[in-house]
Amino acid sequence: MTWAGLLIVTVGNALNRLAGLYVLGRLGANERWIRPLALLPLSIVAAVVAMQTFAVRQDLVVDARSLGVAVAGLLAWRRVPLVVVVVAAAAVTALARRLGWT
Amino acid sequence: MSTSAPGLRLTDLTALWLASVMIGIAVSSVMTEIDTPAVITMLAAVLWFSGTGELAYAAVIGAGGGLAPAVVSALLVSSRFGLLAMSMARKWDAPWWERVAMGHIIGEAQVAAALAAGDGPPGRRAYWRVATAMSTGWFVGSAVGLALGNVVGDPRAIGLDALFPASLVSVVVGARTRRDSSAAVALGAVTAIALTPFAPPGVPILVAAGAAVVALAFPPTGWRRTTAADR
Repeated sequence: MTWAGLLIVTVGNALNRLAGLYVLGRLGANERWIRPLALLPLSIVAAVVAMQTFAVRQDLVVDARSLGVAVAGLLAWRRVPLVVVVVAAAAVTALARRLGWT
Repeated sequence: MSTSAPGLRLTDLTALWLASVMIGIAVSSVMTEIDTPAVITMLAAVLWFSGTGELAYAAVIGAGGGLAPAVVSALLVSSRFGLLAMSMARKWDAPWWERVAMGHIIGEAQVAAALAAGDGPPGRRAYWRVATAMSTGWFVGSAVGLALGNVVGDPRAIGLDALFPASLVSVVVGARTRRDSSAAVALGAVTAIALTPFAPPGVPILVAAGAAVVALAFPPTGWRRTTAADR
């Protein structure tokens, strides 16, 4: 990364977040927007999790990591503490790779 | 909203902190691989506060791309933070400097924790506790990765790429109790996956955010059949 890249993205990111807080964020004062604004992060989190589970760049895969996250999902469903969920995900992924799965 | 987010027990916060340290180390080593000076990588960690943004930038440069596509890619991948900031903007009263700081160190885990804790002081407290764990871990990990090099070896060999999605998966499964939150989660995930092969990086998540609007069509109730007593 160059200084130019650092600075442009820094400014762009700051403007994006400030716009979210101070321009679009005003919608939150309106009763009608409370429910969509509570659902929005759920869709974003689900999208991020799905892509970090099944996507490598622009390819869709089912790999060792997918298995690790799936195990994490099952454990989270059973309300296992987060520390166990996270460690199990990494351990299952690492083990599956050691056994030859990508 | 009844989402069971990353909890606020000390062990949970420690798990998030350690995961952030590991992710910081891994991201710093990727930046070093594309010959980024250490000072720029550290500034990017602090000023961008977006590990996925750094990885998106590095992916373009690593594939032989130029400055403009790398910048666009990093900005698109980080654009979801503006939407997350929007969803948090009115959750509690705060002075402008707290709001700006909150927007800067925003991330999925802290937003989920704040949503689960509710509006006002409980949400504020949850947000800052998780945000503190995530950000200090991220800064420490980024610095360690630069100072000591890739001390963890191949991040994939020890399953580090599963850490971040695993730390958020409780939010996803926690959404199952209500019809509208289940729809927001399912539609968001399916939309992002469906668009991944075709859309530029970052765009699938932006479009998936729109799934929340469709989810409004589902009632904000549990799955149990509603009876007269529920209405």
